[in-house]
Amino acid sequence: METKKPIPENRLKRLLQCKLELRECIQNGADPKEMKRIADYYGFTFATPV
Amino acid sequence: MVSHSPLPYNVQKIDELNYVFVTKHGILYHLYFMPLVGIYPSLPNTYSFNIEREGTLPHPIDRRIAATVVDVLRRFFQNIENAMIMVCDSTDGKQHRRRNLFDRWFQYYNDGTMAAINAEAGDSEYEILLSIYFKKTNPNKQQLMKAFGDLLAQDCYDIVF
Repeated sequence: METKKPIPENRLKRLLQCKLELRECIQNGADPKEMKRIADYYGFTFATPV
Repeated sequence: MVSHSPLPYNVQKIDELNYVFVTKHGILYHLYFMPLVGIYPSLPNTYSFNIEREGTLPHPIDRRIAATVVDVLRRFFQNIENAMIMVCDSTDGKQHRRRNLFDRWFQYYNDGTMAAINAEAGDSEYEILLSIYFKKTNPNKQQLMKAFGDLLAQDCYDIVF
């Protein structure tokens, strides 16, 4: 699935949009590559050390 | 802290901030933290925490899910500089249910060492509930509170999808 939506300028909306796409991805079986692609698209990552 | 807690499920660590577990009903949950430093550099060590499950079918109440979430959060907050933001939005109309559920889990987890700030934004058509959680001993707590206030002031506009 390709993300078509533009990245919002509003940072909170950007976070929400990413979260909603990840939710949909997880509900549909959570393909790790797709999850990573979504997070990367919005500028997030799962793998930042604490 | 409540004693006689149900046992948490075995959690599989996918990577540093991404966990999964399977319930006795066979439902797979994902718990993941997304660092916010890229969009909110003024919020030090702050992560968006998300709980999602595969599939959409309802399932019976399972107290071990809360115990598992609490266990993961306990580990997360072992670094006292960590902070966490929960965002519940009204896209599917479950925002209050999600926050109330999480509030209950938070109360269950909180041994008096945690601080939380809750906020709401939106209008009659769309609502967003935000909360930030951190240790009271977090050395950055003043900065966290200010930056969270700035976030609310600067970004709680134009959030309707």
